[in-house]
Amino acid sequence: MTAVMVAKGLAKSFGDLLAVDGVGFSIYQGETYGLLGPNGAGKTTTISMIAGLLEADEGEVRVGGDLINPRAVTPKRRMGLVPQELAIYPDLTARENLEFFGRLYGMGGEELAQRADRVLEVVGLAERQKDLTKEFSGGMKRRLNIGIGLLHNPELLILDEPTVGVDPQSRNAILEAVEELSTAGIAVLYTTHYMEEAERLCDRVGIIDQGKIIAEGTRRELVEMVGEKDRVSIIGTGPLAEVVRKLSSTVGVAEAGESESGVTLLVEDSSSHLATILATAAQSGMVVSGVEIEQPDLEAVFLHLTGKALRDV
Amino acid sequence: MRNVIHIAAKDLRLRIRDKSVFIIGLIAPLALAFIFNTVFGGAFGDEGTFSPDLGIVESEADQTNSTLERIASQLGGPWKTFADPAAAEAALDDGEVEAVFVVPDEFDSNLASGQIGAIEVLGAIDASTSTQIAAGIARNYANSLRTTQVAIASAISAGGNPTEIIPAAIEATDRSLISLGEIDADVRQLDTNTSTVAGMAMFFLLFTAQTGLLSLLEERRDGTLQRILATPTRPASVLAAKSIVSIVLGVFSLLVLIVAGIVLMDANWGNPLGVALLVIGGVLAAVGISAVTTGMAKTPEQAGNIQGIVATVLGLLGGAFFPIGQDGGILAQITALTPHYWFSRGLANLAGGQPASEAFGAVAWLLVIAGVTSAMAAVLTRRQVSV
Repeated sequence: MTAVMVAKGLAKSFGDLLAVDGVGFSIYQGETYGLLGPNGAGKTTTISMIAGLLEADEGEVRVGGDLINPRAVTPKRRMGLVPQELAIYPDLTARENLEFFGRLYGMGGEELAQRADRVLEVVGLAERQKDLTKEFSGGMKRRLNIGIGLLHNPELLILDEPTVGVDPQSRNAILEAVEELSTAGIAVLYTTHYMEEAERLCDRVGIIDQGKIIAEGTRRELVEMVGEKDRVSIIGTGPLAEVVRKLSSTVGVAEAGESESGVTLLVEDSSSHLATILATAAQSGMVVSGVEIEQPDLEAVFLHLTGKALRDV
Repeated sequence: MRNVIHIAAKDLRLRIRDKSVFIIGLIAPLALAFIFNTVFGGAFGDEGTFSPDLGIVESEADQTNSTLERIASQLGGPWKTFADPAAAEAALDDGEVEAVFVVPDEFDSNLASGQIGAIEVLGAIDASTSTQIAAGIARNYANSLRTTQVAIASAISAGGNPTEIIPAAIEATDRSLISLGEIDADVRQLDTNTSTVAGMAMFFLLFTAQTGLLSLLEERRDGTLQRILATPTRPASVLAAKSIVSIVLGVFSLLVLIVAGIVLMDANWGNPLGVALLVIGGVLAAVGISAVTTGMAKTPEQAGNIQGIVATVLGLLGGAFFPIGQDGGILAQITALTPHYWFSRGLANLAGGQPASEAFGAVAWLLVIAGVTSAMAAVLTRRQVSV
């Protein structure tokens, strides 16, 4: 696969505060890379350097092979940025906003008109394109904010916490739009402190805390990395002590114990061993009325790695 | 360069849409012109020339007295004679006259023996311009007499006929003195009212010129600057675009003020090319100063406050509210550091139908101010166009 963006050893200080400390990762074509971390972890500083808004103290960023910095022009043509805060002009219409930023990317004429039409359809604002954006709802503004980033068909789209302060309906529309982007082959850098968004959207996740990427990989890789196991609760009745004894020696089961409603197990890769586990329970005389599986999530990984919950920080 | 135009066009569109361009560029200068017309009505009368109220203390130096009277009559103002210096001083105190010549009785007779005495000029405290004009006339007259004496002496020593040479030399001296154009350039000034109008125009311009640059801080606050800088647009291009908007609005508002002055007040600002050059120089200087104040601020509100202070201080020093620094000294040197002074100076130099070249010096100084402040602003605004 082709790396659209490569960041190496990025570091940035603000006075005595070391905001980003040796961050490095790559994003490939069609991949959605999530930068997951609590507020103040260094996500926005990192993407500001990747977007060429901020000069790195150390390290480098290449987009499409070209070095990027605040004065670079060529690599910025390949990128789109959707900032966390709304960055649209309230006294321009939705279409005028799109056309203005499109012109800054060198677009014009029929090409710009067609792309603006397309983006307005994608973000569901075609019917309101001639309205001043100050008359828009918060969700509509958010969608336009994203649409501007998509206008010039970037190879890399940077989305900085795009769902902060968004109503559930608009949030879902935004997440669906991002899913479509990776299908279309666009590399996406997605920063969030919402674990469920990262799990849903991202092919790979980098967990950032205190300016450092402390772990990186697919969700499964991260879970395995920290040794987290699936929690399987078998609800039912019968000789539960015997069931626990038998299941303790079943392949894949790391730990077994009785619970109020049945037995609870810690299982490595429950999807592979569930059939065997249920058969063993039945053979041991348990009447199974239900099964609940809790797979370890990125929240658990973050908790394991940092000793603190994502939302608490 | 293309992005500079796109950003400037967008800013102007926003200014038109929120109607600030009409307020700043049209309504404010028209209101200012109306106020000028009401307060300083007739300031631009008589084609912009200034007519000082002059007088003379009677003496036995008839030849000099009549020459000075002839020069004063060319300036168009009233001419009064006083029996003695005390009467002249009383008239000055009462405002009946602005400056009075005191020629010693023996002034003319001393000329025959080759001596040139001193002509004293008494001036009213609140009429420094008229006093300087009177002093300039007296100085020029004395210089001309010296030149004449040298010419006569040279002609006679070369074998010339004194009966022919002396009348010819005196006639030539008289001719050279009856033109206001012969008065030293540093004395050729606008009258108080016109000078104040020019100073006020520059004072107002400092606020107009900040409009475009202020949007830099507004965009920074609103997050749109970050988005612009993420596009293939260099930070310097953003600064250039904002400066262009300031220049366009500044030129537009100043032109409205000038045209309104012509229409409403029958003003004659002077040679159109010279005025145009002064407008451009003045606007560039104002934009440079505004860029410095914008670069010093962190928020648009702070920039507005700083600009208000700077504009007021420069206005005071530059004579926007009342003329200062005409009598030399440290104030005169400080005044020369303000664009108000050079803008007024340039207009004064164009008064009385002078050619555009008379304004070149003032325009050059305005450009120097623009250059120095722009260089300072380039350093100060660097952090404004970064995230």
